[in-house]
Amino acid sequence: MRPMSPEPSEKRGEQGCLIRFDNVVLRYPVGPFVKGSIKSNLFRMFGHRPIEDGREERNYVTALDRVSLTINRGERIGIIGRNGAGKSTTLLTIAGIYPIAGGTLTVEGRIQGLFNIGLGFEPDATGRENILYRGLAMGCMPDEIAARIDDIVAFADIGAFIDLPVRTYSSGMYVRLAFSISTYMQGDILLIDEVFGAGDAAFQKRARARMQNLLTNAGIVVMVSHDMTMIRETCTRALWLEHGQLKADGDAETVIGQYLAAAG
Amino acid sequence: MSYALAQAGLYAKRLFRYRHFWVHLALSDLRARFRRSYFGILWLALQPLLLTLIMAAVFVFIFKQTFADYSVYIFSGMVAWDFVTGCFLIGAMSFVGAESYVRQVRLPMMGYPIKAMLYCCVVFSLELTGFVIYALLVKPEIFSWRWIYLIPFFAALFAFGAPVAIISAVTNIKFRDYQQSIGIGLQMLWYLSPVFIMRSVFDHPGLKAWTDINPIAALMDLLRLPLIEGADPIVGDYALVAVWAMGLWAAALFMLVRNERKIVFYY
Repeated sequence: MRPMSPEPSEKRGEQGCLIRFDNVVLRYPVGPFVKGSIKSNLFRMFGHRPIEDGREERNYVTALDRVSLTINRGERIGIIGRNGAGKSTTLLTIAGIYPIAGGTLTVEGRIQGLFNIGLGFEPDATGRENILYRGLAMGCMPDEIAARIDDIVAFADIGAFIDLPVRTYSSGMYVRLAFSISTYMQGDILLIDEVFGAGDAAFQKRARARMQNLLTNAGIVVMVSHDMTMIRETCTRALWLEHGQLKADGDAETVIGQYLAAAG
Repeated sequence: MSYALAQAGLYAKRLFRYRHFWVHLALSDLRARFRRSYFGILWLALQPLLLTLIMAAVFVFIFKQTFADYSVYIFSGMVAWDFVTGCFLIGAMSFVGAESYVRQVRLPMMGYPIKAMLYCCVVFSLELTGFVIYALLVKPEIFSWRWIYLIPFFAALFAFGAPVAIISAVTNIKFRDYQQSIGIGLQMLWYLSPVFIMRSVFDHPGLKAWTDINPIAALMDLLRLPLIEGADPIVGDYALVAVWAMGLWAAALFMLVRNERKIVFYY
């Protein structure tokens, strides 16, 4: 029998600024669970438990395996590791998108996630309408968005296209609008997955300045990247993840050195 | 128990906090449906009206009714029927179509099917407006003070529709066959409920036992008695809808509690 993982517990609040993982386990379901197999559900209904014949492993991938760490206000964290090591999963777990299967996760502070920023546009709605929807989904009130919409539109700088459906945009315009919307709000905990090159050279310059501003003002920054130069420049501490486990945790320069040496 | 109640309270508070998001998304779905259409949302009144006229032209000979009586009967049934089927079908798509949001921000999952029901409410109110205009033109004598009973009818309809949308949403995200099969189930219900077939048919001894437990029949009665027949609604119909609504809410909340955090894994 597999040892039972401790009962998962998530504590979240908007006061303070802290991330604490205590033996956190995250299992990502694959196979029959997500395929919604009627057969497997019928079997389960009549008492069949895959764990008993050792098949449970095939139904889950352990994306985070008993990870423990604490991130305090002021820290700039870079997460490194190979593809599939659990880096983006860690960000999504902090954001509360993925539920943990074991351990205790404590997150205090308002989260601002910059991952998959192009997702979530309503293609038939105009750029202006999409600013509203995205802002509302981020927890803003309509009057807050109305007060800032001119700034967002000005930053995206896509001209008359802002009043046309998003499906008519070029990929550059799409990214500019997405970046402008996603970065206009300042969170306590900034989660960044693979910083992006947005738009043309002029826009990239402004985007970099805005990112710098967000990085400076955030209480905590957690960044996932394969760009070691960026991690070195931005982060004070690095976490090296391998197969969902924390392989190294320490000063960014040292951990990057260990990782690169292991990668050959 | 008090812990569960406190959690439910926090959940409701979060659901309410994002109220503008759900409403705007429901209206966005409506705008998307009629974008670039010449008649736009007028179609919501035109569609049931045209269907009513076509069906009435044929079925008046079977049910031996006047055209005015029968068309008003069908149109009223169609308005309520569209709401119920909308809760099943649009509710079924509410998690499936929300992937981009679910994978980016953590919002209370109940909001998505509730948003689908809000969409159905808007459609329902526009269809009902179309019905009222049509009915007052062809049969103005049906207008009476009893239309006040439409208010408890709306409450009954929404109390029934919301859990239907939630159950449909959870079932469809887990078993995509649901979306295909529910159409057949609704087709059966259409013939087994007094939507276009005259109510008296369902009092036949062979159908009465079914009619007595059919919530759609009760909803149709609650709508038509005050609206087109100038009669008081029957308390038993409210009781039947209430029992169904409570059962559906219990099932919907049970399914949501079990699956709320797992839904993100089903995309």
